[in-house]
Amino acid sequence: MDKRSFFNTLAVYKKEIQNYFYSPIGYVFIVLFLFIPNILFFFFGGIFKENNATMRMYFAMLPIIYIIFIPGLTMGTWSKEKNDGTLELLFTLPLNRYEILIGKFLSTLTIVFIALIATLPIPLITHFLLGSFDIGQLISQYIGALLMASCYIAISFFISSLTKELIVSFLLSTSILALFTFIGYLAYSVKFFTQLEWIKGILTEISLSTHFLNFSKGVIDSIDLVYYIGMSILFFYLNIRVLESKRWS
Amino acid sequence: MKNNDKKIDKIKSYKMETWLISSLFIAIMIIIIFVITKFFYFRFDLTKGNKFSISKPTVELVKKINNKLIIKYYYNDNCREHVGMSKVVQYINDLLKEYKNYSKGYVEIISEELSTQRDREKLDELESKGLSYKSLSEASAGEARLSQGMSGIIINYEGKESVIPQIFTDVGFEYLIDKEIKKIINDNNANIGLILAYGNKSFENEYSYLKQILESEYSKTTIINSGENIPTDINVIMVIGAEQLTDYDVFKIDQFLMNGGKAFFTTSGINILYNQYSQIALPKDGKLFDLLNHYGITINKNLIGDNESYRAVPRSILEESRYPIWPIITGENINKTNPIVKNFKNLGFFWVSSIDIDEKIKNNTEILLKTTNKAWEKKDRMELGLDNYKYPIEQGDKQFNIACAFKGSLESYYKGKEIPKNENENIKYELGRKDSGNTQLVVISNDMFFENSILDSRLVTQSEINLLINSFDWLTEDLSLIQIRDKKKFLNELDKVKPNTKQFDTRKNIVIAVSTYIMPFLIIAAAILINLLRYSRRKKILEEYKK
Repeated sequence: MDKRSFFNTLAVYKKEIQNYFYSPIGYVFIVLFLFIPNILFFFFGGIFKENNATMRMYFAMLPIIYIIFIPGLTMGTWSKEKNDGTLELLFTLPLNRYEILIGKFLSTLTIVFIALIATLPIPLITHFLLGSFDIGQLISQYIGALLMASCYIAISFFISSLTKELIVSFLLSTSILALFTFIGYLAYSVKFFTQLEWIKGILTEISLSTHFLNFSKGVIDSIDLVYYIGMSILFFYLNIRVLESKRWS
Repeated sequence: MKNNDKKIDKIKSYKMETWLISSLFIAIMIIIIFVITKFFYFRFDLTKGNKFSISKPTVELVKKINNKLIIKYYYNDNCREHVGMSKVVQYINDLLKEYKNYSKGYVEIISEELSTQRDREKLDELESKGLSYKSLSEASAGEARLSQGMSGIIINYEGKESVIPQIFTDVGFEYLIDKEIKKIINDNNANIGLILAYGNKSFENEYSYLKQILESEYSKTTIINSGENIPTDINVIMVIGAEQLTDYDVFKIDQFLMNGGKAFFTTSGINILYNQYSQIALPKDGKLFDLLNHYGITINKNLIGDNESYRAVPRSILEESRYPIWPIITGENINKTNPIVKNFKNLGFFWVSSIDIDEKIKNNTEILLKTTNKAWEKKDRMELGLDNYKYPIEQGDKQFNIACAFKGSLESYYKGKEIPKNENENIKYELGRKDSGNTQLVVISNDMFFENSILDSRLVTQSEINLLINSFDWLTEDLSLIQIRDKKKFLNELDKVKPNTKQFDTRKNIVIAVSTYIMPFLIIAAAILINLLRYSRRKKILEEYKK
């Protein structure tokens, strides 16, 4: 990335971050992201029921939380631009598609990052008041949560680029993410015939949630890293191709 | 115009083609990268103590497996519903996956949760295979709940089956699995020979628990009676006591060692005698002492007391009596480099003697355990009664060796001598004779601590049992399991304040309040502030623009 590209990306990033923070969307996302999972975590199982200083239960439900929350945050990324007619304007600016996409992606990831950081009081206060956490495990969980978020964002961006309607974008993203998330759980809950065991293997390998299991334990695995980074790159690429094709439609 | 449309259509169809081709290319690239990562696999376990990683010896063991090994973990729903046990179930499932990851596809893991109601038949079948129930108690909201938990493992390999009947703790889980895998794949070649030379005691009565431990740990254990030869497939012998050995028995032990065999000797230099009126210790005689003395290891006929570190004996609920003749070896008096003892924090002994090492073998001998330098010895009439030690009567200013390990070459005690006559005339010595040989020895100057009476009284802890097993592992040069035998408990409990107390609830409420209510409130406050600032800035700009 040359200097010009960097500043172009930065400009898009700043504009998108402002969009999030000068409108309720960013705050609503963060507040709900803190409130709903915390309620589930504290009052329906979790740390005090287990009497264990670990956030594993919290991070175990994160893939499901992301299914709803991330499409909510990203549904307007391209759909709204198309709906408002600002996409053409954006394409006339002296920016290439990658700069726009990366700028938008980083701004969305920043919001998720802030939301994740805002959950840190749970382990920090518990660590000092009730029981010592395994810091290494926490680091791995937060790294994993961010990587998984980037993958969810990339998929939602791609779907947003396919439609013009916000609600369609949201529902479609939620469905696709749910599919990619739950096939992992399906592989464990459904009994396969011995001859079809290989299907179980494939379902586990392509699921968004199963690759998060190691991170939530405190283990960083090369396969999980490659999966999340690879999936993000694949959907970025598809996103760019869709945007390219729009140019000619 | 039509021409332009055609051009655009052509470009569009070209774009579509490249779109599809490059998408396919990227997808294939990702699959290739996936396959490559399977071969260039790395992982970082960031948890404290590498909780979710199998240790290096286990990785090496798993890599040795060349046929399908199936580990089936069964647990019932009572285990999952029990707060403490559910964590153990999760840990076991997590760690078993690691066995699979490192196994080149040869290890298959099957983990099955069984319903106590619906899977009755399957549970009964597992019970008949050896898995057993354990009572799980749990107290919540002032009510005690009792349930029957089943959590066990069945390992299958080449038609053989091995069962671990109960697993209800994460402590030592990896060791437990490794031990069974080693047995089932025949990686453990330790065949142990047991020689008892201590009074009228027997392995069936006084040492049955010791025998049971060894049988569960090693592939074969054989009792060798007086006059019998040591079978050729035995590679380590354990000799308990000293006084009951005949000349021929000492000869066969000597030649076993000269032929590369290894030995674990546990004997003190004294005999403990009880009667109605007194408890005393008397010097012990035995031909084994002469053999060890010839090798350079002298077991003294004394009783050691340690004024600084000893096990107090309870006299009543409120009173404990000092008893310095049950010394406890702790801290720097435990050898921190030798794998047999380096992980121990303390080890207790009962009426122990001291060991002296001759100059000629000093370079090949490691002292494993020593008393503190405030210990003393008694050589004459050795009283054992509690009241004799109520108050310090001996001034301790010496340090004594309690255990040692030797590795090197020794000269035969029977060099140039005739083969002693065997009292059992039907058995002749058939192995070749050697005048010297390389061997390994572990000597502990105490013979009581594996007796059932001591083990039953719970005076012996897991450390003393591990001392026995570690010694055998060192002698068979299989150090892999020593490293993981003491792998500790991993769960981080909320233990800074006692649960279900007012203080705990207060702190719990602080955590919930700050993270669930105050943090969102701060975010909303920040939103209002940022937008107010923005509004006032805009207002200023508008005003200036109007001017």
